[in-house]
Amino acid sequence: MKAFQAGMQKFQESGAKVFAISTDNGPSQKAFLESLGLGFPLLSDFLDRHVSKQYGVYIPQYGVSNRVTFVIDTEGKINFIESGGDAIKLLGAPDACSRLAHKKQGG
Amino acid sequence: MMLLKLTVLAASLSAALLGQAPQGSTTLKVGDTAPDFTLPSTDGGKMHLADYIGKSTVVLAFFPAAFTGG
Repeated sequence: MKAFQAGMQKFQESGAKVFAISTDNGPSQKAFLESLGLGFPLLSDFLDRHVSKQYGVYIPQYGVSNRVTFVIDTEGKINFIESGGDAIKLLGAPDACSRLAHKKQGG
Repeated sequence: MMLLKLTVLAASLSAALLGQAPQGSTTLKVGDTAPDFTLPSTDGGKMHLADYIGKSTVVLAFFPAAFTGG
């Protein structure tokens, strides 16, 4: 999540809204958010893990979500997916947001 | 023909194996409609994905657990 904090400027410039999702409960997320000083909200998929399942990132044997980042355009379509190590390094997600922002401006 | 059949079999077997791999896998692909959801947020309220569609690009970063690296 630190990588996302580092990438926040680029996300904000592109006008993208960033949300991090895990299967932790709300209080754990709040403590995590405060300890890292994250500038974006965390969403708790604690109850029945249904969003992680919907997005196909749920790992049943561990009860947690896989590390996968989705960039969703203004039409609600998935524009970019980054997973595993790439999602930690955040190689493409900020660029995908910038591209979408330019596309929007250019019409 | 036999070779072709074997190739197809091998390809579907690898696909089945890859489908089970937990690392870096998702069932969704680029171009798919993002499934709608509502989840409690550390903001205090609830985040409903549909509220953002048509307004801004949304980045959803799934991660395994709080206090893990990355």
